[in-house]
Amino acid sequence: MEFLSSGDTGLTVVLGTDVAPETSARVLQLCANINAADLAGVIEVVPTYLSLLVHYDPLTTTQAALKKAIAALPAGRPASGVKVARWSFPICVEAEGFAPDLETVADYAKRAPRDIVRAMTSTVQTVYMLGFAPGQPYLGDLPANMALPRRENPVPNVPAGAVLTATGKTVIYPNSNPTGWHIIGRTPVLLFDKTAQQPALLSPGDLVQFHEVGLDDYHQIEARLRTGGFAATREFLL
Amino acid sequence: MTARLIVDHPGLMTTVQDMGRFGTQALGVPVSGALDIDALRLANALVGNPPNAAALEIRMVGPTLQVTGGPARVALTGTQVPIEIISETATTIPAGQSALLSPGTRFRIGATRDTGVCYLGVQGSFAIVPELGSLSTYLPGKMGGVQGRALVKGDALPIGGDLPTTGAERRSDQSVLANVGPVRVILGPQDDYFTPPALRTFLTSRYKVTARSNRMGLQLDGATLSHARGYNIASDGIVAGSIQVTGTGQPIILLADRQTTGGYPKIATVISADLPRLGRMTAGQTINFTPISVEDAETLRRIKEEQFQHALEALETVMPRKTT
Repeated sequence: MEFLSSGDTGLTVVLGTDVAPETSARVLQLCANINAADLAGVIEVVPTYLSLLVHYDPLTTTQAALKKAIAALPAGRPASGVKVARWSFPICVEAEGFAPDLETVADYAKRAPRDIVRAMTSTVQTVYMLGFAPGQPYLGDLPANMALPRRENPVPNVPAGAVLTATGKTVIYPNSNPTGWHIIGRTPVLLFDKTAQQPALLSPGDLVQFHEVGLDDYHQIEARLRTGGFAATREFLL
Repeated sequence: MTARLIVDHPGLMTTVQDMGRFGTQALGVPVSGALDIDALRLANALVGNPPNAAALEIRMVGPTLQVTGGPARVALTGTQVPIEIISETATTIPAGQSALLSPGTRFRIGATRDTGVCYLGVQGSFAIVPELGSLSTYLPGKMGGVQGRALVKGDALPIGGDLPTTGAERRSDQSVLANVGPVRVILGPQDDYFTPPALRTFLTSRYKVTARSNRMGLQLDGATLSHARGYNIASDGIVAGSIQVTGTGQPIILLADRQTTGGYPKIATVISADLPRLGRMTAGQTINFTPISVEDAETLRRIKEEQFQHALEALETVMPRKTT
């Protein structure tokens, strides 16, 4: 366990150096342990690939006190008995503007664009974390030859539903945002509903596999999910 | 009867903001909230609200509003520009002072050249249903405030609480908002992703705020910062004030609408005591950074809060002036 300062309101607790489902499981377990310990001054905890960020109020506690309290928590045991959700998400690449960076990824992987789509749809990916925007999942891992770096400079206004990749990971944008990733498809899945009991569709640890659909199917599914909300999404895609 | 503020002209970008939406960052929901929480808290104190009450955040050019259905007590903070009452006598209410406006009063806030952001506090705040625990507007996620967007002409904001009554008004010279000198930072969490010369450059150069800055962050322009180990990290959590450096080598200071996580290395983090002044900055202004320890930052924040609370408790009271 290594501690890094994220200013005087954040303590980053690092649990590993390589992104892997095992490290992720330990991060999620420590996150649960910190939440259960209800430490004074802790505002909230955000789990990510290798670390978790403890947001704290420096008027209530100190970073030194937090480090001590977290180091004293019981060692993380992998959660057991939790049913892992397996999702099948439609992805469409054929429409104009849906996959503008597919060739960039293909060139990097030294494969044809079709091979990239095939790799995308044949890989079962793990939800490592939610972040960046409401309900946005970070999935992995894609084959190593597809692990191209992110763009040097972010591009503005990527639309909701965009499926993007970089560094062997996949993200889906729940709303329009800038990105440093490469856009390789579009999905009609609704990832976040602020009025739902559980506002995020996915949870870290869930499994996701994409299946390719044509534009007509894409629009049909989109209409169906928009009217049915999360309930229809769960029924249709689980 | 509910008093309302009717929007005759929305200004450049006027949004409802409180101190932010906490507790759902693990779901990827950004905190949002006021860019300058000190000016927000001062506006609230002037109109007798709790510190976290939602106010209108005004960017560069203010709105024209009309009071209907009852009186409204308001106060403008974070600028020296006054509230202009639209009437034949053309009176003004100085910034940093509360005033009771009678029903029918139309008023406007002009261009605020002295700040990127200022706040109109309203006694009773707004009777709007919070989303995920907050009234803060998060524009990209269409969340909070008025339908998750900036105000538009015709909006009618219901004012909360009891109707305000005539009485002494409060006044502040706003000196409590002053904060100059280098912006203080704590190095890390990924300062080891930069070359030693890059770290030196970061701490000795002046950076200019560019016009690409917004509620998400200040995009800076200045001496390029070289990464020592590439510009991709496994995405990790982000706080207000995180300074990420993208592949171009230019720093971005993340603010209210910051993403909850990100994959660019973060060279340093602005200390919490210095964050409110960053929210006010406008394109063309410059900043430089100086490093301090976590312990010093925590101490500075505690001292600042004590002084701030003292200033709020010591607000001057003034006899009401006739405004309309």
